[in-house]
Amino acid sequence: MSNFDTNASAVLATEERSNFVNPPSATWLRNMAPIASAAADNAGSAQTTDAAPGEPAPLSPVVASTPFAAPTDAPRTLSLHAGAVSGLAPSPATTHSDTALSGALVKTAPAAAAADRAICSFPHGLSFEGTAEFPCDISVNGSIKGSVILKEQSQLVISETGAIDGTIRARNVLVQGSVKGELDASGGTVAFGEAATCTGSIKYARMSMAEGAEVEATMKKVA
Amino acid sequence: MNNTVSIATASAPATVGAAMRMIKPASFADATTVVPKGAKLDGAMTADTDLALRFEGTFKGKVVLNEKGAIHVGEGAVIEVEALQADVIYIQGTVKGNVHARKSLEIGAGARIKGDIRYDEHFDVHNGARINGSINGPEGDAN
Repeated sequence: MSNFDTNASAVLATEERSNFVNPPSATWLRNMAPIASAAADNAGSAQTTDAAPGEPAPLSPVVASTPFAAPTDAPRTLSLHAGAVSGLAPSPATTHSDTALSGALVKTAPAAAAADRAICSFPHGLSFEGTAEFPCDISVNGSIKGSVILKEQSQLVISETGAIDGTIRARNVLVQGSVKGELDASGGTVAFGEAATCTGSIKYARMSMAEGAEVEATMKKVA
Repeated sequence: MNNTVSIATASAPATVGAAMRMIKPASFADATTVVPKGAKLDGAMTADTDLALRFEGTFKGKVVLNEKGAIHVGEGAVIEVEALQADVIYIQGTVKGNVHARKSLEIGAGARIKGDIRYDEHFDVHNGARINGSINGPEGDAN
């Protein structure tokens, strides 16, 4: 598995570069990184500084008309790209490096650039039962039963200690913990980390899954 | 300008986020904003570990921090609870319901509280706060 670690830095490099060419494509997962690493639970405000460029890929038909022509230094990961596999990826911006990126981020969640996106978080040890609506990105480290709804374009990270049992609606979802129930990321991206478990149903437009993720769900692609 | 005017302004709602004067800032040093501005939560929140939570949005239900814990209800927050319970509670927003601070309770200037208040050790109210309900502290001369 040390492969992954070495790859991770390469990925970051790739990402930095591709950022210049294609801001939206690399961004959402990149933005997820700080969320994931913000398990420090230190979110003062709900403002997302980065909201506009942080929007996911559909905006960017510019680059990557050849999804599989990966750069030579692109790392290989074992993650599955559902969109690419089905050949129906709605956005050509979904490049190989994006896929790889998700795999790597899911694994290592680099601590770099931690603060460029303010998010709020739901700390470990806290449990909530009911309905929750958030206007911002959120990282869930505790457990939630019920429904979690994020405003459009927002990102939800369920960390390794996080668990959500119920309904989730968010544009982009990164699952490293456990999800039971209905995960609705219609038009957005769902990424599963290697420790993720998920049962229920999933709606997504793009998906990535790390090796080891346990996903038993009905999946439906909804652009 | 006569005196009545200044009295009137003094009792007018203060929106200023006056800092805590009794509760130590350390209580909220690593506070997590679980309900940010614009968020709406409805349900029961419980924790059995020591956590510091901040509320800035709308919450309805119940917040019970069993193990120590600190709760900050920020300005602009609207909390409607059957119970709001922690060791340390600092209220600057609007709270409807019963509040129980097992140690310190501080009520900021802009706070609006409707409900019964209980504190077991320390209590402080800033000028400008409005409270409707009963207040119960520790009995006797202890402390």
